[in-house]
Amino acid sequence: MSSTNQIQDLFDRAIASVPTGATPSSRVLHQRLRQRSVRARLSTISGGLLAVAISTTALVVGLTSSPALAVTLFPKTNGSVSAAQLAADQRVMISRLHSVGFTNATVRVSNGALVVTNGPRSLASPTSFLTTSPELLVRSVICYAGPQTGPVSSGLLPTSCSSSKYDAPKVSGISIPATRRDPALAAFPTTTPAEDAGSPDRWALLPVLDGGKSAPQRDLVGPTLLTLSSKVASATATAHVASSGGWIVSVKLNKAESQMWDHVAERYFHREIAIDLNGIIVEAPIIEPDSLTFTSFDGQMQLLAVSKTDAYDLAAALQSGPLTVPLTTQSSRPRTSTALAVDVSGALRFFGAAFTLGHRNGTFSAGYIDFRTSSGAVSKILVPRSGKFTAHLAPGTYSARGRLAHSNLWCSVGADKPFNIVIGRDLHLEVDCVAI
Amino acid sequence: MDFDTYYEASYDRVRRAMTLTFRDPDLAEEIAQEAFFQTLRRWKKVSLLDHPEGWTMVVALNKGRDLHRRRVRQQAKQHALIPSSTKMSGESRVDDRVTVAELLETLGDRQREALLLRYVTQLTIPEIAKVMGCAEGTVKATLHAAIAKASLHAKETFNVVD
Repeated sequence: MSSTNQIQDLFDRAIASVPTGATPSSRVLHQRLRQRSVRARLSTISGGLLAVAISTTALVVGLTSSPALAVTLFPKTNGSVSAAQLAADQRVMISRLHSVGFTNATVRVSNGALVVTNGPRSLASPTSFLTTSPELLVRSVICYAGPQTGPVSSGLLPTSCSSSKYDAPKVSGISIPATRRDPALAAFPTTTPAEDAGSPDRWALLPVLDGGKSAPQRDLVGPTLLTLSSKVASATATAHVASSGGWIVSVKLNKAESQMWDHVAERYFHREIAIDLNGIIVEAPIIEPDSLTFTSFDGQMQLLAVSKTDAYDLAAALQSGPLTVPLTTQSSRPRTSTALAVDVSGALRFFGAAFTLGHRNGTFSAGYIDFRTSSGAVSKILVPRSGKFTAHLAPGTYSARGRLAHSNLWCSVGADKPFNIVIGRDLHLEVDCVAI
Repeated sequence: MDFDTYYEASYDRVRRAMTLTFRDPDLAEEIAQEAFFQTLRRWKKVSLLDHPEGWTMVVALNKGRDLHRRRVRQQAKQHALIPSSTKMSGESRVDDRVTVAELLETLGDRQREALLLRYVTQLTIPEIAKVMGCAEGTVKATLHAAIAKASLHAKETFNVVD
């Protein structure tokens, strides 16, 4: 007998020796298969619904938080600022941010500054209306001027036109006479916003806002007749229909200022008035040129803004009232060897990744980037999900790398190359985030 | 052939083979049930094979290995490892059963698989190669090594002479 046959025989005997058992009915298997199919179908449906719900939530959260960033606003003053003043500014900022649609924005007082999170990107701009107390200076228009050309004159700005034929129009009918620009003013430089704010009672040569589409016209304007700076009754921004583009902010003044505005307007009936905002003429209406008698404006005023953001920010700033202390993104504190603001911005754009992760985790959160000096000291900087952020670092050589809390993305600053921070020199760095 | 007919014809053989392999009738029952459930799930494709039982046998062996390892780990955790041979029952031909079980224990997974397909399921070498997903030469070599080991084991146990 061959070994193969012996093995076969051994297996046959062994198999036969296993006690016979009852074969369970195949119905059990069929039933189990049916249950499994139902479970699989339910699981697919509920999984699909869950995925849709999570995706929608993540998308909504992602979209609403997309423009979010943290901005530190410092008091724009050389003097000391009390806690009460900062608290008042905090309330005003919250009101402004909410009125421009950032209801999730938070403002907290930290180390003598206001830290705004989840606010708009425009907040970081030094020209943002949200961080200013807009003052509307009402001035009379004396004559028109073109852009500055030729050698710059260092002489005193004239207080009248070089000839009466260049005087701003005085209208007593529906037809407005064409007025030429005074060529004598072409040599004079434009009055800067700082000069305008510093000397509101002097004559000024100010640019006229026209939607930013053509060469700027300038107007020679007289001393400020009226300053409108208190909280207005209402302000709304609407799209401008004029060919010059831009956005209109319709303002309804409060009762007291409405009366003052009417008083000035009546004095300048049929003449041109300039509304000066931060050194720019945002509207220059001729007072009721088609009326024979003056009628009250009832507090109505229209201002022009170049962009939609500016229009909404200006409306919010006017409606919330002035800040107790003006704010700025630049620290007015003297730069010492222990603190330097570094503006780090750029490529923190990973909405897709955040969306995917939101899909998985359902939440977004900020993370940290470690700024490490050559000696090994680490400054852990909280960074927003996107946009600009500012880090206060001592001068020195740094390398930076970090990981956002909610993602698998590693972020590095300066492409992992050490970079130097020097006192008095601004540094702009890009943050790159890559999947690991 | 419908599944129920195939199930009636093959179930007992697969269960017996698993009893021999894993030396635990309860475990063999569970393995066989699971293997036939997997067969039912894929019956449209499995029914087209020349030897569906070979496919079921391989599934059973794979499943059995997983379950067996899990049970051994659980028993080790409980410090109550009972020799599985004590669960074998029946008086006649117990020696044959124990010998084959011991023999299978001495073999590797692939050798055990090849032996069962050859001597329990009665598949030919090409059929085993198809089921195991390897070359016929590999099956021959695997079987040769398994038989050599089995012969040695048989000689030592029963003093069998060729």
